[in-house]
Amino acid sequence: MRTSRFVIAMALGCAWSPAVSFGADWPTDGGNPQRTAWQKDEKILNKDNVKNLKIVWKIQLDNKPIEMHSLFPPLIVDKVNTPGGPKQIAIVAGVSDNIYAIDVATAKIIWQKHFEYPAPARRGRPTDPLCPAGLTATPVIGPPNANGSRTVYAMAGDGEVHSLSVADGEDVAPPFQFGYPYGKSYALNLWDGVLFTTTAQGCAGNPNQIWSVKINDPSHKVMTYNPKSGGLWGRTGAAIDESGVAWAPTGDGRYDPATQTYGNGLVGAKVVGNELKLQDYFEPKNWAWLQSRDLDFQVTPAIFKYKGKELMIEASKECRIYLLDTKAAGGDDHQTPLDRTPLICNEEVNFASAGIWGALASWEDAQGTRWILSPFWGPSHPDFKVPISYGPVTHGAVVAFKVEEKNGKYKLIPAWMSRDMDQAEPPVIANGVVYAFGSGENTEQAYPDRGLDDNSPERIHDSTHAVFYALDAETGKELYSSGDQIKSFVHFGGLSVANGRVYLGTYDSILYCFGLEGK
Amino acid sequence: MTLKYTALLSLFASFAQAQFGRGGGDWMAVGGDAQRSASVRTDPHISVEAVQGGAMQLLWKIKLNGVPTPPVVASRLITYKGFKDLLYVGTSADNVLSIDHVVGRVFWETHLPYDSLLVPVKTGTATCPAGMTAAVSLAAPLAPPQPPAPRGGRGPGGPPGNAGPGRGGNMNMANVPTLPRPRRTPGTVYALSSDGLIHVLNQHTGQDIVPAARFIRGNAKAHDVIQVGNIVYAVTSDNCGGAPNGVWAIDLADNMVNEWKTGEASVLGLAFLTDGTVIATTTKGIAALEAKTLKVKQQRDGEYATTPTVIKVKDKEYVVASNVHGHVFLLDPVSLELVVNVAGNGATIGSSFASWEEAESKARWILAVKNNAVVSFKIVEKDGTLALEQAWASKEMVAPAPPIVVNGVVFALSSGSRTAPAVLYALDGMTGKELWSSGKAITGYSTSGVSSGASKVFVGTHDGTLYAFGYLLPRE
Repeated sequence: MRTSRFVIAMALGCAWSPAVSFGADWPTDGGNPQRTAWQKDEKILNKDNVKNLKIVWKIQLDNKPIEMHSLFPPLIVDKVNTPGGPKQIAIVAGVSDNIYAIDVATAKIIWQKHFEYPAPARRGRPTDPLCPAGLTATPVIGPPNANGSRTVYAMAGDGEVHSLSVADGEDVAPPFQFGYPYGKSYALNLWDGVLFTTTAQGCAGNPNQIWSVKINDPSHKVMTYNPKSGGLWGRTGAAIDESGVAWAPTGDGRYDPATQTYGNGLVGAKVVGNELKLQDYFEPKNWAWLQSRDLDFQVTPAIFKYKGKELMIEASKECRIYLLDTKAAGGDDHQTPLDRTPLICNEEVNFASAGIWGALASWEDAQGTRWILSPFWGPSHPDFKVPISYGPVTHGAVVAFKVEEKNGKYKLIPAWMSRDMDQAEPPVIANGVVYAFGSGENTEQAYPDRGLDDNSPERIHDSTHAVFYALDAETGKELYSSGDQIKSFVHFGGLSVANGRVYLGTYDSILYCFGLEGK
Repeated sequence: MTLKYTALLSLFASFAQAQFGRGGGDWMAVGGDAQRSASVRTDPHISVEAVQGGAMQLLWKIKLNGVPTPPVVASRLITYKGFKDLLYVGTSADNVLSIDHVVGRVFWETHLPYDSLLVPVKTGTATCPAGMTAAVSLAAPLAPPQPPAPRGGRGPGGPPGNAGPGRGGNMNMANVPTLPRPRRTPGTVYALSSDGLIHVLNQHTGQDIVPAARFIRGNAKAHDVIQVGNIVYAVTSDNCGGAPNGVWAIDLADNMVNEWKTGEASVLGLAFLTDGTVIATTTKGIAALEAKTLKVKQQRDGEYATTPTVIKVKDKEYVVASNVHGHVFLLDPVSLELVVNVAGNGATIGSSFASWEEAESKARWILAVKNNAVVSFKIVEKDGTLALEQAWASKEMVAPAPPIVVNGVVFALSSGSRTAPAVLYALDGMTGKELWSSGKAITGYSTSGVSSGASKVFVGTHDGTLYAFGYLLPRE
């Protein structure tokens, strides 16, 4: 490991004043362990002023992209006591085993780490976007300790977890083995001292399963649960419910409860003693159809409270959203959701450039209305009706539903559909504003003349650039667009929002920070 | 995402009496395969028990532009528009369509333009219908594909130093059918247009992969088109369009055409031995021809009336055929000498056979149409010699089409007439007991017979409608 690399920072030179600290954090991918992507503590940005969003700064990092992957969603911690005084810090992981700590106020790197290790024996095929050989899991930041210090847990490409001080990047504990070398772990999650991740695509021979480890266990025993399915490739890993159950979608595979085989569903596993054990699961009734057309359940669920009940939303490339009860996902037969939307998109039944990908979001407004948000790729379904929309959707959009309950019956009611976005990615929400982006990524995996030929060089060549949007959370109306200011596309990146700033990293390893002038 | 499939392939599941494992139940050409067995050996959703339990239903019907030829079927294709399960069907109007056979939606349609510089368009007659007469073909292997062997794990499970189930740990025996491996690259569809050109079409787009090549004379009455070993074969009969009767072969490597002309004798059909030898029957004899060159290796005279079918009994191949007097023959495939001769008592056998093997006993059955009914023969061995025993006969039907067999279930089509619409029946292959019928679902009469694949049975009717019956995969 080494601690310094050449970095080019490009502050814009405008007369930005330092960011005002309000104490909001974004400590994990998706904002919280429940993966709602809702920043509840935002005080600066609102629907009246986001029309004035600017690129406050952007910074070129020296992270080398690998197979389309580059920067993962930044984690934000405010009021960090650093050797240089209290700072708001953005922690950004790069796929080539880099961690950067950036002073949000000055756009300068405070510290950086590069994880080095002997080359693992196995790695993904060159040009294969599915198995990049490097760091793939968004790190997670733990709660403050007794001294108020924060630790960021980052899994290097060799599967070792490094525990680093957010303040200075120094190791606060020896690294320990958690994941599989080049095994493509997904975003880390942290709950009650237990670190979780999921794996997919069988990269480098890695099994597809949920992984967990107790941070304070001296032996760091790795506890896994394997649903015997396809990959568990929810973009933000597992979501954790109030009971500590880690919920993760399972990719294409069979459903056969007799053999504990749970493909194309959603499994919930919990650490019991020193084992990670299945607690519950949901399987859609049309799982065989989903399997036959490669329409995996592969979206990290979002978990939230509604009228005293803990609910969960889940989706797949088929392009519909399921509403589930975390205490009985799918009811007695595990196949009956509380509600299920009609098809929102993917009339073509395409496995590659259509459907719902990544993660979902949920928030509650001042009137107590519970909203859920979903991105999708490709054209909206011609039979999907929504009260508010903004022209034809051909490349993707964000769609919003309201959760309603009457006499114990739950419904997802369509509310609005955003403007067209080029491959809409998981949104985040803060203070009545939905932040979304079209990744500009070419997502094709198959071609008329060749069939399946998913390769990074061609997809990179055919990608364009991301566009960042701010939308009115109640109507979906566009309040801001970055237009062509972002110069590259995004693959497996994502938004983070805290304290008047919204962050997005792109394929060319530039981290963009959007905010308001003088705020 | 595709790597996930490596963990999902491979299981043999025992599901009632059904067998699983064959690659999706493809139907490569008329008669299903190179042997013209007209059978699908295994199927995850069609079995005697499943059909009795209500597995068969009308899935969809589509009106086509022209009378359909029997479809061919390929499933689990990874196309640029997603995973598709497709059938390919030609019509008399020189159209080739690809239909997603699960959802009943046209995937692509292409018209094969008639090259009038080669030969003028002719109007069809009852004997020489003109237009596209031959069903399209996929590449057919010489030997039926074997069920896949179980696949082991690809690596250790868990991180170094930790025990855990690896990908091998995902392997288990279960009661849930598994899917065949998806096909990553586009295959080809071979279509013989009415102007005599052979088209090699991309399975995913319907576009010509290479320029269409001159194969036979236009307006011929061509049939039995099949691609085997990079050679496309066809036969012609009734001297239609001035095309000589014969067997034709075009090598796709150089477009060289060879033929075996049969003079006044119309060719009835052809089938393949596993060494590539072509067995052809004509109205005046039977012949064994060299692959590609079509040079005669052996021939015998006889007034044949059926397409040959190649079967295996105890790992030895035989040729099944029938003559105009209704005799059913089992022939040695090399000498073409009689091994078994079952007298027909003058009752004509229909134009082709079907053959299937019992999964457990390995008993071989032969099926044909006789006296307007489907009859079955069981091959038995007595004192070291083979014999054919007639086992059961179905009820009489209206102009029954040659039957097919899917996993022990016989599908027989009462083709109907102008006054009686076609009816599809499912019969128990062991007893002939009727398990199901399509009732009044089909509203026209059929001239194109029955084909199958992927837990479905397809019937085309004279009014250009293609019907699909079978197992409904829940999509909602």
